[in-house]
Amino acid sequence: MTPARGSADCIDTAEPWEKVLWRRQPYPDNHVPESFLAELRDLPPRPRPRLFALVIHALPITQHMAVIALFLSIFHALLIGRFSASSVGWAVVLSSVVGHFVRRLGWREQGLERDLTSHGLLPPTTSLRPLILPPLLLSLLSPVLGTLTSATTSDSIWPLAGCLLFIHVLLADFKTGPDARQKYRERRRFQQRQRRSSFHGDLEAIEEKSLSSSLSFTSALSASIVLASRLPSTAHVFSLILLAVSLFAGWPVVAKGVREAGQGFSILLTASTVLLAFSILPHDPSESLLFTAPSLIFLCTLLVVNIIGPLVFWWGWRWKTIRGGGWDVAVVRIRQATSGHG
Amino acid sequence: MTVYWPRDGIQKRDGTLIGFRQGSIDIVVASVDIRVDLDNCLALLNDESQGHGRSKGAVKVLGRAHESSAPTSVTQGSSRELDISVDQRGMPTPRGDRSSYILYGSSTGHNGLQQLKLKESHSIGGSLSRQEEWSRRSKGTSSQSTADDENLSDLQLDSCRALRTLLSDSRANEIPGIQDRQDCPSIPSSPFGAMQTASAKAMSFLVSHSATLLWQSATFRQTLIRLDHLRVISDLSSSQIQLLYSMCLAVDILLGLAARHLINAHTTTLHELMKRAFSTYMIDWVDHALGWLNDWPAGLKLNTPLSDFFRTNLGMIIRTWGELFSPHMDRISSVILNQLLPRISTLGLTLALAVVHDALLLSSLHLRLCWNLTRWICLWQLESLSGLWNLFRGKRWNMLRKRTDSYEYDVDQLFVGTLFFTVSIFLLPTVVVYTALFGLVMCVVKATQRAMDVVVLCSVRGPARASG
Repeated sequence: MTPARGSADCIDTAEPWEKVLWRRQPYPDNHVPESFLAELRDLPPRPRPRLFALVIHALPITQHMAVIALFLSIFHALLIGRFSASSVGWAVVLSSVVGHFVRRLGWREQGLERDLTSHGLLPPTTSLRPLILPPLLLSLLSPVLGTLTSATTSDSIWPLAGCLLFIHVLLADFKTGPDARQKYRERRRFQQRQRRSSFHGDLEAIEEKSLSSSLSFTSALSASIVLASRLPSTAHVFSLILLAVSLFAGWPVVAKGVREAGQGFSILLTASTVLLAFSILPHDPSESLLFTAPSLIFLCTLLVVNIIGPLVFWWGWRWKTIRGGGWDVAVVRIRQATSGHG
Repeated sequence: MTVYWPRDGIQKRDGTLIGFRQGSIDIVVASVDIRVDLDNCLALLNDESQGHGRSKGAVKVLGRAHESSAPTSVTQGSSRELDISVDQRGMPTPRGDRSSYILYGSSTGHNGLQQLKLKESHSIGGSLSRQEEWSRRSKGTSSQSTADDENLSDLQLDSCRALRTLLSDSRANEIPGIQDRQDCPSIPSSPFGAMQTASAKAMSFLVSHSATLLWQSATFRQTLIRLDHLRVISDLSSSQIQLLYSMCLAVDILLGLAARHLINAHTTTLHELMKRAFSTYMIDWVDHALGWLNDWPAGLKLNTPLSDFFRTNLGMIIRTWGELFSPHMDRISSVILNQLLPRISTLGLTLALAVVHDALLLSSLHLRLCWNLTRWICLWQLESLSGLWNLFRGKRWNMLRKRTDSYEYDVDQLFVGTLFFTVSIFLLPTVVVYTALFGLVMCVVKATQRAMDVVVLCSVRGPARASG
C-alpha cells in the first residue's frame, strides 16, 4: 500500500529514499534524508601564502594611497599659498609630457603597444585628443568651477570630498597583469607561429576596463572639482583639476605598467611615491615631520594597508576551508598548438 | 475621349458631374449632390456663366462620380454618361482604358493644361507645381476628338474657371448641392490652400495659429457659446429646451445688470483696486520675491553668480512690464470700468467675467513669460543630467534595446562629462528654486482664472445638461 503523500507514515516505509527524479517514491516532495550533504567533504586546503607575497600584493594599494596623499598635500599647499598655481600647472604639464613619451618609448620596445590602425568605419582615436581637449575645456570652465560652492561652507565640502575619495579608493582598479617579460615572450612565440603557418589571426591584447574603474575616476574627479572650488583664483582651479586628471587617469596606467615590469620596480615605485608624498605633507617647520597629524595619519594608513592587513589575512587563513562533492568537476584544457598543425 | 478635370479636384466625391461637353471632350466643372434639383442648379450656373459673357455652350450633366480606391474604367452608356471613380483628393483614380485626362486651371498660366498620365492621378495632388504643357493628344483618341481638341476655345475653359471660382466662394451656399470642402480633407479650407508658394504657406500658418490664439480668449469663447445658445433657442422645436436656455440667458443678463450697477456704484474703489493689484501684486511683490531669494533666505544657499543672473534678468522683465503699463493704468482702468465692463455686463455676467479673465491673462503675460523661461531651463537641465548621470556611472542608454548598458568611455569623454555633471548638479538647486517661485505665482493666477471659469461654466452648462 502506498502511503499518502505528505503523511508522516511515508517516512517509515521500508523503501529507502533515492536521489532520483524519474521514479515516483513514497516520500513527500520536501523530504530531507539523513544523508543530506553527506557527499560533501573537505578538500585539502591550499597552502598558506607567504607573508612577503601578501605584502607585495598590497603595494598597489599603498601606491594609490600615496598618490591621494600627494594630491591632498598639493591642494593644501595651493590653499595656503605655499605653492603657486603656475608652478603646479607647469609641473603637471612637464611631467605628463615626459610620462607620455616614456610610456610610448618604453612600452613600444616591449612590443606591447596596442595597434591603433583602424579596423572599421570610424577613424582611430589619436593620443593627442586626451591631451588637448581637457585643458581647453578646463580653461573655459575654470571661472564657473571657482564659484561653484561659494555659498557652501567648508564644513560641508570636506566630508563631501572625503566621501567621494573614499568611493574612489573603494572602486579603484588595483589589478596587476602578468609580468611584462612573460607577455613579451608570449608575443614573440605568437609571431613566430604566424610566420611558420598560414594563420593570420591577431593577438588582441585588449584589457577589459571594469565598470568600477570608470566610476572610480569620475568620483575622484568630482572630489577634485569640489575641493578646487575652495581655491582663491581661476588659475589655482585650473592647476588642481589638471593635477587630478594626470594623477587619477594617467598615473594608474603608468603605475600598472611599472608593476608588471617586475617586483623590484614595484617596490621602487612604492617607495618613491611614499617619500614624495611625505615630503609635501603639510607640517610646521619648527616641528619634526614625523610627528605632525597628517604624517601620523598617513603612516598609520600605510601600516594598516601594508603590514596589518596582510598579517590579518595570513593569520585568518587557518579558517579557510574548501568543500567539494563527488560530482565530476569540469577541467578546462587549453589546447596547445604544436608545429605541423595549421 | 478626353476629359478635362479641375486641377484641384472636385469637392463632392460622390455626386453628379456637371460641366461642358464638346464633341468627344468633356470638361468637368464640379460635382453636385445626387439629391439636388439638377435643373434648378444648372439653370443658376448657366445664368452665372452667361452673365460673365464668356460662355460657349451650356452647363450640362456629364455623368457620375463615386468614391473608390480601386481603379475602374469609365463606362459610357448610350447617352455617353461618365462614370468615374475618384480618390480622396477628388482626382480620378488610374484607369485602364485609353481615355486621357487633362488638368486645367493652372495658377500661373492662363489656361495651363497638364496631362494626367495613366496611373498618375494620385501624384497630381502632390505635384501641382508642374507647369509643363503636355500634348493633348493621347493614345487611342480618335481623329474626331483631335479635331474637337483644336476647336476647344479658351473661352470655354475660362467659363470653367469662372464657375469654379463661383463655387469656391461664399456664394456657393446659394447654389444647392454644392457641398462644403470639409468632405475632402486634402483640399484645405483656406482660400490660399491651393497655392503652394511660401507666402501662401506662411499665410495659412498665420491663419491657423491666429485661430488658436483667438481661442485662448475667454471672451471669444463665451461669445461663441452665447451665439450657439441663441441659435438653440431659435432653432429647436422643443419648447422645454428653449425655455431652459431662455431662462439661463435671462438670469445671466439680470446678473449682468446687477454687476453693472455694482460697478457703477463702486467705480473709484475698483479703480484703486485694479491699480494696486497690478503694481503691487504683479510687479512689486514678484520683484521683492526675487530679491529675497537672492539674499539666502532661511539658510537657502543658492549659487551666487547664477542667482544674480536670474535676479537681474527676470527682475528686468518684471520691472520693464511694470514701467510700460503702470503709467497708463489710470486710463486702462477707466476704460475697463467705465466703458467696457458696464456695456458688456448688459449682455450677461458670463461675458463680463470672461472680459475680466482676459484682462487678467493680458496683465500677467510677463509672469507667464518668466515661468516658461525658467521651466524650459529646468527641464533642459534635468534632461541633460540624466544622460550625464549615466556617463558618471559608466553606462549609456541603448536606443535599440531601450535599456541602460555599460559602456567604455574614453578618458576625455569621462572628464568632460564629469565636469558638466558636477557643474549641473551644483547649479540645479538654484534653477529649481526660481522655477518653483514662478510656478507658485502662475498657480495663483491660474487658480483665479479657474475660479472665474467655474462660475461661467455653471451658468452655461446648466441648461445644456438639463436638456441632455
